[in-house]
Amino acid sequence: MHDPADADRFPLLTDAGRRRLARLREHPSAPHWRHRCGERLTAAGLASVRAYAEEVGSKRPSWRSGEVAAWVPEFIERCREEVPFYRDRLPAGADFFALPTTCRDDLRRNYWAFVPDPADLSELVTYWTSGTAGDRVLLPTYPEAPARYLPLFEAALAARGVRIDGGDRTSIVQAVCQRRTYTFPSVMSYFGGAGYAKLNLHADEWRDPADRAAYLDDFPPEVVTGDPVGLTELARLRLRAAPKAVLSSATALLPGTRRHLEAHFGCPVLNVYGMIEVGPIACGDSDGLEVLPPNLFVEILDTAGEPCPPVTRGEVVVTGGINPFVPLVRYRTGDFAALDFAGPVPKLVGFEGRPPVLFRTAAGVAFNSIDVSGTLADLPLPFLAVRQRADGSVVLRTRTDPATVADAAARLHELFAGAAVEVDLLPDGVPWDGKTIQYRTALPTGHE
Amino acid sequence: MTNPPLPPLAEFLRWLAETPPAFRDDPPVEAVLNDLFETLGHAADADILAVGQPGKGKPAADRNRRLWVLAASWLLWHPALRTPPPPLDGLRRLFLEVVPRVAAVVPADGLLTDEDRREELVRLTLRSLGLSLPGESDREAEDRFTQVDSVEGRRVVRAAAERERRAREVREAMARRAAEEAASRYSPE
Repeated sequence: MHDPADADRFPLLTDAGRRRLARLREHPSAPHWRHRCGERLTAAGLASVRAYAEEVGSKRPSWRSGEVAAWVPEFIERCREEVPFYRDRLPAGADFFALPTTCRDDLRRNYWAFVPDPADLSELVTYWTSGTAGDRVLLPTYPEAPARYLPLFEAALAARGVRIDGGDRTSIVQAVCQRRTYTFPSVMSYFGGAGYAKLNLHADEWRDPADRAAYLDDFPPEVVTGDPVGLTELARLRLRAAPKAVLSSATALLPGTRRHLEAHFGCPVLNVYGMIEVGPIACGDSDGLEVLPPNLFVEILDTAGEPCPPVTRGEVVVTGGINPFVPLVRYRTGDFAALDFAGPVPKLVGFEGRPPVLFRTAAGVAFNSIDVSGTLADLPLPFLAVRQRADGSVVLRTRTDPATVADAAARLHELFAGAAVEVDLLPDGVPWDGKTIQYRTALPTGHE
Repeated sequence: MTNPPLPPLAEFLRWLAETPPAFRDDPPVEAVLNDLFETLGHAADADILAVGQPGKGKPAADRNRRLWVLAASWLLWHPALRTPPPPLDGLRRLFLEVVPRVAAVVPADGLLTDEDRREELVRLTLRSLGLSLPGESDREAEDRFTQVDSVEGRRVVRAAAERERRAREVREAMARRAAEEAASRYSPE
């Protein structure tokens, strides 16, 4: 059925694209679509995304420890001149490493002040985003920003020998599995009008659970994006064709889950670290995450705000980003990692998507929650929460097979040096909310 | 040879507060300028005399400019500014650039009623002539001038209003768009 609003959603829609969109929307096995949404990309916007693709293809992020990327001084100068939030915060001529940091709360309180004075508000669109603390941020952006993800994905995949052909096919499916989310089909001008669908694989979102595989068999994607929970659910469907690559994002992809997905799909499974307010930050595999956009500068800062030496963990802080409506200067992500400069491109290693929590053994010896990640790293757990009660006992909440559960419980028992470990198995069909790995403690001096 | 020290600011403020009525009405400004420049040992050229003549702008703005020229002329009659006579380039800067700029944003009536405006004229004149008040460092003079600088003050007020207007525009646009569809995103975050 033709929707008149499609003219706004898809300014570049061709006849072939319209037919593809109709097939994706109206397929007999299609899910209950929960949203209508399009790329909103104009010819000028597409040209700009293509120019960005050339930049991504020709420039790789490159700076050495203690330096700033070459483009940063000019970027800072422009922020000082054009962005209300920075006007009085960035003294002229100051050393970059002495500039104040920015945080999510700055965005939440002053979202409007990040929009540069010359930005054309007729192009503005907004996203609501939620943080770990559940505080929502209204984020100004424009349609080119999400479209710029595509050349970044292309570059990350090309480095693994994978090419997205686009055209008369479905090129990308985003797979999630949660109680409720926006789902919609779309087409992508950047890939020659190829199809895209965001699917919620939760069975309640389909007329028949078997429709999930039937739909994906009729629209086999070249590449699948998704979070580890959605991707794990996808791997449970018996699909006729496998994607060329899988891009996992949103929450930490544990090594065991990665190996499981790689073995199941027989293709590269890459971890993409990004944030809505920044865009993709880094991408990689178990060896670490290489910084992806050429216009993003990444630092690691300690708790005092001082730069950490290479390979020393601290908070990931970024400058730049793909969204010109929110230029970020030294934005604290709340995520933790170290930077490794051994290769040609700076790489995040030891990435942990939230600050560590201090647990205690039965004897009262404190240890870092990263040790729990390490202990369980090779188990196929799609997600997990470990909570230490005030009496020192430990609760593991996850969903997996009984043998893996027993293994995980035994390892935790050993790590916590004899503390009681209780397992709370999440039943099938009950969605997992929040980050893949969640650590909490009721003991004093631990922090979440 | 260095100039003898100037009297304190209060003396110039008193001098301006006691401006004779002849300099507050509408005397022939060209004649005043001719007398002043002759007294100071310079010739008032056509450019200088032009600032005292009616211009092509609005009559009220024109009159305001000529009243500021008269006030500056009266200030320069102060004995401390006549000996030694100030340099011609400083006088040209004062009458051709500085006075027209401040006259464009501040009514000359303020010179009668507002001591800050009188101080502004004193400081503008001394800056143009390269002179300093006694006991005041360059930094102190700059700080104090910033506080009475009407041209900069007007610019700051206008810039603040412009920023507030833009901020309101962005907030309103975001509130409108928040209720609308966004653009497709291709991966979860």
